[in-house]
Amino acid sequence: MFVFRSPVDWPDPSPEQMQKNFQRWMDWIQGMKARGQYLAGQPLEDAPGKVLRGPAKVTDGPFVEAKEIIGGFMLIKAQDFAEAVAIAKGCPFDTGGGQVVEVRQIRPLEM
Amino acid sequence: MTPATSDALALMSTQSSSPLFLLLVRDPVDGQPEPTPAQLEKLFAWFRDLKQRGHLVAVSPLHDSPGKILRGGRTPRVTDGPFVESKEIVGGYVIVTAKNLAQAVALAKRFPMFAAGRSLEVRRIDPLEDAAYPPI
Repeated sequence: MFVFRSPVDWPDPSPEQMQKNFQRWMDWIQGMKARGQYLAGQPLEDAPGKVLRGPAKVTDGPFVEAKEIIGGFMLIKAQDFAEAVAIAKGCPFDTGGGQVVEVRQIRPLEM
Repeated sequence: MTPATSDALALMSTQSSSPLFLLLVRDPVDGQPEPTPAQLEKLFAWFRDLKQRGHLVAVSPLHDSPGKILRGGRTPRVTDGPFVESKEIVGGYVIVTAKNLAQAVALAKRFPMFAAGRSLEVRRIDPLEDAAYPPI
């Protein structure tokens, strides 16, 4: 699983930059699809979410308490963890820095 | 993810009319004991209840073994993570369908692991395209 994080105060890109970024992301995703590595990916709306620390402890979040916000996630298939990290290196990181990808292994769940 | 888990992926359309929400489970990094068998049984009962009521789209715990953090620029720097830099670690995720954020929060309130120090971040998913999740 890739968890995508970016700084909360990250400036919005220009429409031209946004278009360029979008194309780089689509190229990356298409490459993973072509190699059979891509399972799922979802951007998250940056509209307000909620954080629950208990049934009665619901706060607006995650913005107030974090410097980074999770902007989306992706599930990919890899032979091992090293290959997953290699795939993550292909992410079109913003050249200004700031963008973060967290790579984690999923544990199969038996229900 | 092992190759075996991808053998029978549940393909689901995220273009359906019902909004999707991500419930991101956050575990404390230090000091919390492992969940007891009784707590785990409650957790699985919650999963089954969500499934029976048609809310459960996907659920996966994450390995708490070392992950990696990649930071941009042009050449990303790779570090062990996320442990070194935060008090909480993402411990897993649940994806549910709900009419709106309020209903998603209502479902999340029944998460039985708050007492074990876990918290949940509830976020609305931006529907993108068909997605293949591990089977549940």
